[in-house]
Amino acid sequence: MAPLDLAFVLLLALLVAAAASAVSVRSTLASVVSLSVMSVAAAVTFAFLEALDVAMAEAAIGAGLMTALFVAALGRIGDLT
Amino acid sequence: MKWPARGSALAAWVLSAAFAAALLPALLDAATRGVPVADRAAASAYLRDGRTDTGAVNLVTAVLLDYRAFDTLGEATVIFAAAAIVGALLLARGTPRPRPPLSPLVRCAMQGLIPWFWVFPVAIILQGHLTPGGGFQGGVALAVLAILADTAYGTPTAAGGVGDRALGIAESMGALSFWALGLAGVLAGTGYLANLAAGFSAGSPGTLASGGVIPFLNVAIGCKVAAALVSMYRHIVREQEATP
Repeated sequence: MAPLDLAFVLLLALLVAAAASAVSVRSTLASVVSLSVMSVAAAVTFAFLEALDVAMAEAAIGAGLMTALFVAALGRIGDLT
Repeated sequence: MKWPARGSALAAWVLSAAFAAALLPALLDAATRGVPVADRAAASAYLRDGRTDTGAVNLVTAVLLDYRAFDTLGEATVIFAAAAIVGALLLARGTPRPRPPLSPLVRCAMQGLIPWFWVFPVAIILQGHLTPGGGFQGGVALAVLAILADTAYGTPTAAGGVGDRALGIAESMGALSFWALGLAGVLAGTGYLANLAAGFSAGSPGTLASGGVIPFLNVAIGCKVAAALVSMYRHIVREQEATP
């Protein structure tokens, strides 16, 4: 397996692990952070697949904005533990 | 673990794993071999004629803001609806308490960093027809920058940030100018959101002044998206401050 392929497989493994962590951890805040990590992994995956426009949107929306909105919403309902 | 019950949680994991296992070969295949573009009539037509049809070098933007500009208008409407609904649901009932700003260290660092943070979104928006990205991505990055400043300085207007009124104006002007730029095509006797057919100049592809109406549409989308997302965030945070 070429080094680049190996890196891609590791990236996909990180994506799946972050997604699994997002649905299985008990703390809501940890779940939000897992989702953010998953978005970063997805963004790098898109960049890997030469879809730079999509990668940029995923990084800005998924990793940046959605995390901020989720944390703000969690703070609002007092679940920020 | 009360809900979901242990059995159904296990079933969900097994189902997800099976779904992922079914999709993995296709993804790996697409990554290593690539999908043959020549087999797809629309994709190969965009790749062949995109540059002369639209004057934009970035073909993704050419599709988003020329061939399929009407779909982009629909997307912008979705964001507008989301911001309007969040605003309606979380209408602040009390006067917002100003939040304490973060430590002087953070504020000093932000002072030095914010000018540089401006460069990225603005470049993404203005060069949407040349390099990857465009109004949508740049607008979101701009919104994240504003949220960062709000968080560091406590109140939105403390450091000369944009007030809610300016946000509303930016959002409305973005949406209205996108709509009005589309109308130019109708006035020229072609279709709504027409680009070169409506008489906009293609310029020389690869330069900043090219792509006809596309750079203007990018700026409109960028204003609209950034303003809508920041006002959405402020509505969520404000309600939290209003209720102790």
